[in-house]
Amino acid sequence: MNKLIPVFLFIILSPFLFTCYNGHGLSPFVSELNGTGIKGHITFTGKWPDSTKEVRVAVLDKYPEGISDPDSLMGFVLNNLIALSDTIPRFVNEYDYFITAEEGFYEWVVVVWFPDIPLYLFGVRELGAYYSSTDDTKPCPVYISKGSVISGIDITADFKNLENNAPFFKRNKK
Amino acid sequence: MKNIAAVIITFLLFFSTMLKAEHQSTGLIRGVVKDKKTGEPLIGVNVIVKGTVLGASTDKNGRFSIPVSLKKAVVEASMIGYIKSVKVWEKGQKEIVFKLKQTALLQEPLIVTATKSKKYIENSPVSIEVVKRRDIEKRNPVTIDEVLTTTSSVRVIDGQLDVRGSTGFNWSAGSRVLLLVDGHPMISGDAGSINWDLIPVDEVDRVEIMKGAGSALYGSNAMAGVVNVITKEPSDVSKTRIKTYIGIYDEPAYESWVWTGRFLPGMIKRGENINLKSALGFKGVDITHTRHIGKAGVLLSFGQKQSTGYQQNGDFVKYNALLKVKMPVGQRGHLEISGQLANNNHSDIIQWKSQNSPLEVPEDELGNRVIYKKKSLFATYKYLVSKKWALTGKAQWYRCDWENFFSDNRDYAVTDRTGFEVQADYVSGAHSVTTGIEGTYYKTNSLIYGNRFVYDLALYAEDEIAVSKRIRAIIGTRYDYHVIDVISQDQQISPRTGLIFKPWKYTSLRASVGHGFRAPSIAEVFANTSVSGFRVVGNPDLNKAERSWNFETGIRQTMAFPANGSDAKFSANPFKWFLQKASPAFILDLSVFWMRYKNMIDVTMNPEKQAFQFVNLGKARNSGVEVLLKTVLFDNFLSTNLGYTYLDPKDIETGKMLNYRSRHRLTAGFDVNINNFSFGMDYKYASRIEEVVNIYNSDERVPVYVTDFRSGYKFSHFRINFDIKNLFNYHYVLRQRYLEPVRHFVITLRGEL
Repeated sequence: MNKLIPVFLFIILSPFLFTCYNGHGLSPFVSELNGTGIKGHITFTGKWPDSTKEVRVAVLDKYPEGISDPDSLMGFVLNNLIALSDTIPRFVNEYDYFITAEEGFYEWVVVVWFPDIPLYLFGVRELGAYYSSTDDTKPCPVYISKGSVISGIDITADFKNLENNAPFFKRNKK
Repeated sequence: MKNIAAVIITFLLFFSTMLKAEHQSTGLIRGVVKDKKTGEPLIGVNVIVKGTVLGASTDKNGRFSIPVSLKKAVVEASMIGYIKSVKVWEKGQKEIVFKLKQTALLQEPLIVTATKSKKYIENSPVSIEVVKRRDIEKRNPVTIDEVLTTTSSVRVIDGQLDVRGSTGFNWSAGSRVLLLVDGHPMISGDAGSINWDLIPVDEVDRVEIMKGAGSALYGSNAMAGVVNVITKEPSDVSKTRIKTYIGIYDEPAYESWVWTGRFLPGMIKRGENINLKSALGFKGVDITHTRHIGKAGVLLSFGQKQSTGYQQNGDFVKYNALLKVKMPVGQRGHLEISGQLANNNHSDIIQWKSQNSPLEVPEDELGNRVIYKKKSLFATYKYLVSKKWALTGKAQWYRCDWENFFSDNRDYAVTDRTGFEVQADYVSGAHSVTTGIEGTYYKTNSLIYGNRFVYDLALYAEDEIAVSKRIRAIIGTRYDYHVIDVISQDQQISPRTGLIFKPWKYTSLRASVGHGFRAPSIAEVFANTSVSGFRVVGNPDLNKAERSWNFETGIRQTMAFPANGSDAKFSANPFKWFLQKASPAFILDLSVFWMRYKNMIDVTMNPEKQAFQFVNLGKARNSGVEVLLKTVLFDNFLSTNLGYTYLDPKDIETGKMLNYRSRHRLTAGFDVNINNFSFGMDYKYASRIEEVVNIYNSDERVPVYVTDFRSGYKFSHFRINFDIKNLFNYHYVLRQRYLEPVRHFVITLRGEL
């Protein structure tokens, strides 16, 4: 057999064996925490604005008490964010969500809206939050125990809230 | 409309007059083609009478016969792997004997797609890539589109064909690449989409991929390319082919994505009792019998495929059947009839549950099914009128019948596509003229579109001129008249011109400019539906065809360095030493292309209706460069292929990249043959899709890095293959929220008796 053959096989095989491996590509959005998290149903009301960049569900450990400037919401979110869901498909009327989050007590489970602008994270607004059936004056905290998925965290997300600078600002101003 | 009818009648009268004038009495050129070295007869050799439309293929005994009315003729015999041979025949001569000599040069088969007539690939004014039978067999695809994506210029997203970034992904409504099967259009009449499962993979002889505008000959849908699947001819001798395969899916790379205990590697890993019946996998069988019955060649094929899928709602059961009959009609005619059936009962995935559960679907979509039945009947009649004239008549009927069984959707549609074509080929001196008339009628009865009709009428003509021994030119145009139900009518003129210059024997330079168009499909104009929370509404104002201008220039170089017995020393001349030892042969093809689109049709959100709609957008541009290199070393011991396509597809108005396109695509592969054993790999890279339709535009997207491994062993009349697809279990999406297949293992047994 030609002595060149092993040399050529090495040259040809090397790229396949050494450079074709590039990890596993897409990975889970949030690291796996043994299925701990919350899930529920979102009902959208009002018209999806054309200026929508994306909509997600966020879990925060605190409620933004006392914040009255909508533009400062981003800073609060960044400091208190526990988990953020996948992007919710645009223009749907309803959506079942699930978020993986660690065990803990969380004051604010909220549907957040981002505008289609260059620094869109700074334009974040609230569309609706989780309230208990008995008190609609303040979002209801959620406690997630280890290894459990808390279901029934249903939220109504109203696009009219965008015109009013989000409900929590109104509540705070009261 | 009256004017069009008048033109058609005039056209047909012209032909009938020409036919009468040309019809003359006949003689026969008989002959045999053999291998010069072994003396064995060669089967399937193309034999043509130069300067005429006459030709034939050799039979099982290497024999051919061509009816002629000539006193003298120049006859050429050609076959892949052999140097073509030319001989002169004179009336009264008993037979011609060709003895073909093998060549080390890499060669492609004669192609038919570039100009609707047989020609060598180096004589094509546009880029053509051929996927040969051997390329298909060694890769063991379940459907033929899997093989097409091993070329850098082709991508298939959810069944939709994209050549050089032409289509991207359009939610399976409207293809800018025309799919033909044996020259007959095979796109659905409603959405203009492609049904790959109607094509029996093992009966495909080759696939010709024409890149660039094909509307000058093929009309709508061919605005950015044509993919022509050529099926095998019925055999002269009785043959039965069987292929059966079984495969299993591996678990995804992340434990959190494992949605069921039914992954076989998972069962083994966990030490569980192995339950093969419940394991996620797929299997299939294809049986073909071909023989001659009297003068007719018959091929009958039947296939069944089923899969559990690797994700929820991924299962399917598919059946397909093909009957092909080819027979001579008199001395000058050939009739070919083929009928195909496919029945596909599959679950449907619109989107995954979440990136944390990409192999699961939302609970209310579990069990969503589609039943899709397809039937087609194609007939082709070829008649040699004289040495200068040949006529081809084609008729086709193609029915697509589908129904959704979704929790929130019960849409259905039954759509018929009925068409005819009469093509005349005329050869005289330096001119080879192809001209024809074509008509297609689409009719749909459906819930999703309503009851609609569309029709097209077209005339085309193209002249290929041998300007000199080294220069050939083509010039042609096509006129299309297109009517969409009662809402709109449109006309298109699609000219094309091209030039081929061969400065040296194995070098071919090409350049072409062509106009392409695509009329909106029934789905794009009339679809009204709601599924998975999305609403799509029809757009009766979508009455403009999208149009394009395509320019391409390229060079094709073939070269071989057969060993000549000299004893080159590495120390004296390493390059010469390499050429002698490895005796390389290669084909290099380099193209530069540029396309400009107007009235491009794409899906967009209508904020007033809060629904998606297909609309005519503005202008777009797509330019790029493509390099293809095929090599064979050590007398076919090692073969390699490399393809790279650079794309710059832009929306001119927004400056953004067009949706669902990758800027860079690379494919590379090799095969090693050691006696009866062979192995090889394919590698595909595509850079991250930069822009997508603005539904989930923030979803994570990654580049594509996929490697496939294959191996095979040939024994007696059989061949067994073991393949690993997606060797490194790389996870990626081509459209949003649909994870492409995880690693899977396949064993295939193929035999011919």
